[in-house]
Parts: sequence; structure tokens; C-alpha cells
Amino acid sequence: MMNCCLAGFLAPVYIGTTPAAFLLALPLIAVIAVAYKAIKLEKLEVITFVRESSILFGSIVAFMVLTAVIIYAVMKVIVG
Amino acid sequence: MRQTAEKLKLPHLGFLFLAGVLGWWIPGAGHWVIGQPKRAAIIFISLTFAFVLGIYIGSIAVIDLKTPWFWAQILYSPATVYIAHLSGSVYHLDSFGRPREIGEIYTAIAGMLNLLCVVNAVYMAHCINIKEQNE
Repeated sequence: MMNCCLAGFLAPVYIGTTPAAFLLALPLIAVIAVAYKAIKLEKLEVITFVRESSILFGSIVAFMVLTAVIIYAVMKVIVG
Repeated sequence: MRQTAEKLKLPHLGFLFLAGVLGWWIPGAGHWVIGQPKRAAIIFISLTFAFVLGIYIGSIAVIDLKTPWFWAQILYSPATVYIAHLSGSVYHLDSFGRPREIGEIYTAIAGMLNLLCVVNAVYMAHCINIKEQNE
């Protein structure tokens, strides 16, 4: 029974060294945005909650992309 | 079903302790006991999703008693200790490289987010008690 339940959790999945691996950050950012807004909003209404969570999700992604671009530019200047 | 210290016949601190401990044992349960079922459901689903995805990506070997990550992971729930026991003593598993790192990050962030939720549940329980005393 335990083996059956744990079957998918006993071996790690394969993650290649590709740019697509960065997409694994998206579910985590979504969870952070949703959990944070769930405790932050005074009144939980569907429309407000979805809007606020989406804004937070978008801003985290945007700032991560911006940071990546800046680091890439700095590395290009320094290393060439 | 909103519970308060008075309804449960608990002292003020006991009610806060109950909300905190329940929130730690089952993510979202702290909010559920103070009458916030929507928040409780959102917290439970989102944090459990992150935790389960983390152990799916890196296997249950990412829950390792010997790493500092464990102290963040255990904030998700005491059940983490049982998972650590399964991976270390029962199945003798280990994982390496990128899947392990990503799994550790997912599970540890789920734990730290749960700490945030527990603190919020305790604060809300405190506010409810103060409001009730004033009434």
C-alpha cells in the first residue's frame, strides 16, 4: 500500500540543463503570490483575490526577468 | 463555524496556541478554527501543491534530517519527520543535482510560507479575542 502511494515519489524526475528548466520557477511564484494574498487581503472576494494574486505574480516574474537581464548585461560587459 | 476562546472554554493564550499548533500540523487549519474557511482552503491547497510538487521533482530524498533545509521543511508539518524517516531509514534514498535542489527549494519555501500563515492565524485569533472581550 505504502509502495503504491509513494511510487511517484521515490525517484527524482529528469530535469535537463535547458532554458525551459527556468519555467519550474513559475508554479512556485504562483504559490507564493496566492498564499501571500490569502493572508494579506482583509476580505476574500474572488475577483479581488484573483486580480491581486495575478498582479503580484506578474510583478515577481517581471522583476526576476529584469534582474536576469541586468546580470546578463553586466556579465557581457565584464566577461565579453 | 467560528470558534473563539470563550466558545471553546479556553484561556486567551490557549486559543492562540491552538490556532498556531493546528496551523502547523495541517496547513490552513489555524485559519479554519478561527472561522476563515476560504483562507484555510486556499492556504492548504497552495502549500500542499508546492510541497508535493517538491517531493515529486526531487523524490522524498529531499527531506533529509542532516541538511539545514530540514529546519525550513519541518515548518510545513510534523509529518515531514515521518517522510524523512521513510527516505532515510526505510527506503535509504538519495538524490543529487538539479532535481534535488529544486525539490529542496519547493519544500522549504512551502514550510516557510506555512510559518507566515501560522503567525497570521495566531494574530487573527488574538484580534478576534480582543474584539470579543470589548463586546
